[in-house]
Amino acid sequence: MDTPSRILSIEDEDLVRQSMVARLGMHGYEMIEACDGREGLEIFRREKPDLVLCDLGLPEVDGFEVLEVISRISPDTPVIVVSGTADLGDAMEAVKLGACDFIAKPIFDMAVVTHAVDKALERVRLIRENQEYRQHLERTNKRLKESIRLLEEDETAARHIQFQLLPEPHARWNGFEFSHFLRTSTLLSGDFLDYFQIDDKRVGFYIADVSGHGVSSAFVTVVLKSLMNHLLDEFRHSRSDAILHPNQVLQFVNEDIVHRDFNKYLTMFYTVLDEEQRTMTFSNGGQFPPPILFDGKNSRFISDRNLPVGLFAEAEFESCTLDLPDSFVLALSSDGVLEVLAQEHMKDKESFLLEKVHSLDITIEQLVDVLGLEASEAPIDDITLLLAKKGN
Amino acid sequence: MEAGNVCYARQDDLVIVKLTGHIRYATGDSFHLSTSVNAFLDKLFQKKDFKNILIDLTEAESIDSTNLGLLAKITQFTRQHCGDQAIIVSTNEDINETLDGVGFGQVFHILHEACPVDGGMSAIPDTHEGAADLNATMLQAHRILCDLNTKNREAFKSVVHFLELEADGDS
Repeated sequence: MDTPSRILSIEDEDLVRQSMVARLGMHGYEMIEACDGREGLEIFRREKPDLVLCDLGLPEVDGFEVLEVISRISPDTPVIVVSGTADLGDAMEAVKLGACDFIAKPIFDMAVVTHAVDKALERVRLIRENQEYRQHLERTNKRLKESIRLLEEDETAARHIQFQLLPEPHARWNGFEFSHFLRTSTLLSGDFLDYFQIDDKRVGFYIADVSGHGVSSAFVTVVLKSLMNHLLDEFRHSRSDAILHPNQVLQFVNEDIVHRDFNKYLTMFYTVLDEEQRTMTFSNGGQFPPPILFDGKNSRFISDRNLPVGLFAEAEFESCTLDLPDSFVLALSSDGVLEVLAQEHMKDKESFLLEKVHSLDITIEQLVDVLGLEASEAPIDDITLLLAKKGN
Repeated sequence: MEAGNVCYARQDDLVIVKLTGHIRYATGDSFHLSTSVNAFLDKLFQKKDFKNILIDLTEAESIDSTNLGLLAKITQFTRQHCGDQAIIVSTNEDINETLDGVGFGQVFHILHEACPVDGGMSAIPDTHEGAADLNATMLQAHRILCDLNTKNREAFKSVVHFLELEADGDS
């Protein structure tokens, strides 16, 4: 139970003082009395009441002085002034000095006093509650920020691991050059890519986009990498040559992902480049936009399409083989690139992309620049670019 | 960006799922559209009291990968339990590119016309055996959709509404 609020009444007219004390006492307040300004201030300093009722016309140290002192030493304590002179000037002066209310004497109805006191104390209570609430919010906010910071630290560590699984920024085997760009929409990536040497004649590479993005999609990229590593391993130990057949690769990944029931699927474009045969064998599992092939003169989309990987158990994938020109640029991108382009319609975005892959000397940095992939805002979806080139 | 919405309607043996606006995993104020649609589909699939599902994308502006997955779920179900691929009606070029990009033509009947002209549709896709029967079913489904879109828009209810009804029914 709350302790009753304590009220100091500073009033030199005995009758008035006694009747205020009696009435407020009955109303539930604990009353302290003083009959002049000096005594009043002494008692105030000692007792620290919750509210002061002060007459303006006090002998020696008058109400204005009391008010001024209290406002200075304890600005949060409400002071209600009482005055016999119905002087508006006095009232305004009192308020300017810090009084929160003004009661005119003679007091015909004590209810006026109790009401004024109740109101003033209620206001103090509300202000205090407000402050406490604000402090509580600040503490909660601080804790939340700390939690977020820990989560971000955690995710940054996870991102570091995931990014170790990506290939080197630039690689070169069998006369083919590879480079890539990846910009994620969240800390972890739902896009993935890799390029690797299969044997002294062949090189494999792929780009993949897991549905959704963030942590859950990142998990699937790790599964993908380990599946591909497995196939490479099987080849190196002469147990299976599936890695050389893109349709089989996609089939293998499809079965695995469907079987695991992740509620995730991915689009994937996997290619094997054969330096000796001068061919490119590939299978496109729903990757969009399609890869662009520039042969030194013209660029075109490689449009062969299959279903995405990991979505339908019965999906079947087909490989295609193309003869490779002596020099070429192959540009693969994930659909996050399309989101960033300024054109409104898909067809226009695709044309724009096609136009930009127009030089055998193009570098990944140039392409990133000309497509505006490093704009300041975080992208909506992960952005991936992979360039495979055979130079002059 | 206009937030996406998913509504449904039923007529005869056909369930129509209508997607409008930009269909993303979460819409503006992080209301997870896809979670609701997923829950809606699960409840619907339990009932199994329909012959096919038609997905109306004519008013959709874009659809993300998570929701493409939900569409796939629909056709997987109808292939297994209704004996036929689900139907998609899509007239937006960008959406058509997206569907084409993921080879959905292989697992859905995709129609590119808003409403059939009297006497039939001008482009009836080439399908396998039973082509004649297939076409009649699709024609009918297509007509139902047009009927609802033009005359009876109030027939479409939000899937969230459906879930609320179901929840009341369960309690």
